[in-house]
Amino acid sequence: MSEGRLFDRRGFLGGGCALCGLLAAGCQTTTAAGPARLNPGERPAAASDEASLWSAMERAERDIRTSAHIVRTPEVMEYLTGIMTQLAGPFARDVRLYVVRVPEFNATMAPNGMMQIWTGLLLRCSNEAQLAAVIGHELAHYTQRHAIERLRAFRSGTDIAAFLGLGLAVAVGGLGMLATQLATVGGLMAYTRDQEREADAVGIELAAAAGYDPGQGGALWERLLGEVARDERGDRGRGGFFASHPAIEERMEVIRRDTAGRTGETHAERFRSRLGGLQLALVEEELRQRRYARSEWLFDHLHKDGANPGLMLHALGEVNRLRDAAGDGERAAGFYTAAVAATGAPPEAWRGLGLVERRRGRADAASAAFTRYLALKPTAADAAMIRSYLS
Amino acid sequence: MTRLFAVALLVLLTACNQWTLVNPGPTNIRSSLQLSPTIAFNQRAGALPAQPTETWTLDGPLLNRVWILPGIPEGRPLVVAPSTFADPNARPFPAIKPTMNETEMMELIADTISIDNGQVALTTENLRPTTFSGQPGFRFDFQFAGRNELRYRGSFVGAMIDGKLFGVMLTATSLHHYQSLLPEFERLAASARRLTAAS
Amino acid sequence: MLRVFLVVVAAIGLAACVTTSDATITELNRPNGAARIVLLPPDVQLFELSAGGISEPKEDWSASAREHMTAALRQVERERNLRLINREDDQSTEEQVQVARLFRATASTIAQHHYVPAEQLPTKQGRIRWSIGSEAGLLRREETADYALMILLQDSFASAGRAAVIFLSAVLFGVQVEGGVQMGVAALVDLKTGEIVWYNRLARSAGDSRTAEGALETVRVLLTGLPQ
Repeated sequence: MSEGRLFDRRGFLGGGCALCGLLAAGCQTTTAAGPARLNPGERPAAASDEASLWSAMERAERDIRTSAHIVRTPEVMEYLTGIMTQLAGPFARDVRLYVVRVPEFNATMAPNGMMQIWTGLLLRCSNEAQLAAVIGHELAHYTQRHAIERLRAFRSGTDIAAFLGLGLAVAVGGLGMLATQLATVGGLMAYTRDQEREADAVGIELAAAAGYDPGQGGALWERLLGEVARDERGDRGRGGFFASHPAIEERMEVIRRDTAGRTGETHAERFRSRLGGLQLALVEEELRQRRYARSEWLFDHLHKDGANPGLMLHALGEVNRLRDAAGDGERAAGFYTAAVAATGAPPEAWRGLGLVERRRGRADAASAAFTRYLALKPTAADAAMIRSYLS
Repeated sequence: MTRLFAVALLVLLTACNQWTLVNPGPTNIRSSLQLSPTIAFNQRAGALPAQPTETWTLDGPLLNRVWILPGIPEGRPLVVAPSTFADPNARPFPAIKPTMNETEMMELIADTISIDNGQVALTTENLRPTTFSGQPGFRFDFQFAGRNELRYRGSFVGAMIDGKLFGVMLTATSLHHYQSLLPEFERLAASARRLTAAS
Repeated sequence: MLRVFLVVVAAIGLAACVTTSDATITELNRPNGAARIVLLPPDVQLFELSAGGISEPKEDWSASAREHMTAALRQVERERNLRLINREDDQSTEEQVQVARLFRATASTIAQHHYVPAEQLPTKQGRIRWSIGSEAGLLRREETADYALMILLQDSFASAGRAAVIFLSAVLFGVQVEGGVQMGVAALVDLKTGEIVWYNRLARSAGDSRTAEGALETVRVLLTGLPQ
């Protein structure tokens, strides 16, 4: 079930099904044998198994704070933390948000209140309301103490499989491992369908209470399923985990039903402008994965959603240039040309145009594009090589 | 359960996949590339015949490694079996196309390293023309932080010759190993000679 | 699950009790009698093995083991005439953190490429010859220290359910499953040259760092062979 990888933690993508306990309404729902939900500011009782789990996560968090894989752009972090703070309400002081550079769709919540959002998820959100749905879902895992519930179920022998990945990671990893790699009890395990369903329900109410359109979470799921259906490798591995889980469709149906007819803000414009310069990095991370059909489908839909047009047209050009199958060169040139005419295209769009024109034997068009690229970005990583093409 | 078999397979492969000595002086890689190191290296004997590249190291691949591309033909990826840092289900790595320009070869190599190190954010620098085995080639530098939080630097020198990608690449920790190995890497790159059936 | 555990144990190559140390020097530099050593925060992780053979990190055990280990190191410091200079994680610059990580990566590389026969590097000729470079000096807090010591320890213990599996596997399959293992590394680096001058690996199915006496015994075993 689990790949047991370092950063592969089951979060937003878990299982799925029903029960409810609404954080916003403050109702004290407990699952069959589950623990009562946390109160704001509450810490586990000293010497309990839960306290041990928390301090293991705190050690991991210390390493994550200094990790090279964390996004630190102050404006971006201030903006995202603000969204979380608003959703968490009385729990705002108990949770901390980290944006981790992994180009896959996921978010996780550790039992001690450390929330991680992967950059691949940020890329795929069209607006603030979609991100709010995810954050609300993760907050619910924290307040409902899902991690300790799972740990206890596992220990009592009813659910050994949930921890298979963790055991292997620890045993095989050996002595060289960092605390971030070891102390992943709260993250590596899969939540149950009931827990995921509960988190979905709480997330919807949190987003709605904050004034967001609660149906946006369902829209995000829907597009994700569409994207994964285009995955070249036939939907295995991390990114594709959920598409082989019928529970995801089931969860999506429930979300759609529970949010039908409800409205609210999406804040698409604010989302785009506040993520600012990070967006090019998100696109480049996705391009590095070389899943051409899937990325192309994604960029196309983000473009249709009205995301930064220059950047998305550039991204579509890049996919076609890198794939370079029949007709791709011509298509790439078209996308780049449209990109540089639109707002928000990076200088790299001119480089891309130059490269495909050069390959198509159109030397003059290539030179013009390269010249423009070098003028816009004289310190580019490949400037010396591009200059050699011009001479 | 496939994971269990993967672990068992890994253990088995490790057992029959030992490191062998590369002595200073001219040495042939897959009868297609000759390199002349001035110090001794350790070479991973190929347990996977499908793996088109070779790896040398001085102190262990986690600390420093020289990756050798002895002419990868069209349609082949640079990596066949992903590393332990990579997603075990990593999609087929991107493959060589004869129409690639230097920027695209750099992108191919950089993306391969990035995926193989666990989808790390990798920065490429200073792509520039050079010669490799007497042919027009290219070189670039790069850096990234590993999923083990160690910082790495690297350099690639190579060329596309007759539609095949030849090259050598140094990857080592930014602290100590990169600087310490760079002079030998430069000598190695300068010593590279493509072997043809006639020579 | 049992098979997984056996495969893993086989892979690690655990014998009943092994410590093997190797040094590139015969004696420590002792300018005024005591050898001055920066002590990096010992990385101690304790686990409980549950019925399935899965390791669950036990942070409460780990925290008290860290305290016991620190106290035990103080005692060994007196016995061996060392001067251990504690180093806190939080006071490190990013570059110091990188040096410590390189030291750690080197320690795990040695564990793999010196001790696992199939992984041995012929250029090393069976000796421990590794360096982390002259930046090792960054680990120094005071100009007076000559060395830095790193200690990594993983200790695991059988839960009640695990004990049942051990018994059953012995009865049903005639297989001896480890009840718990202690794995550790101690490495000493010369702060001037960056060379690893002494290294010890510990792997055994005994030892218990959860108690003060057990921690002292573990520290003594880990520092077996440290040059005088």
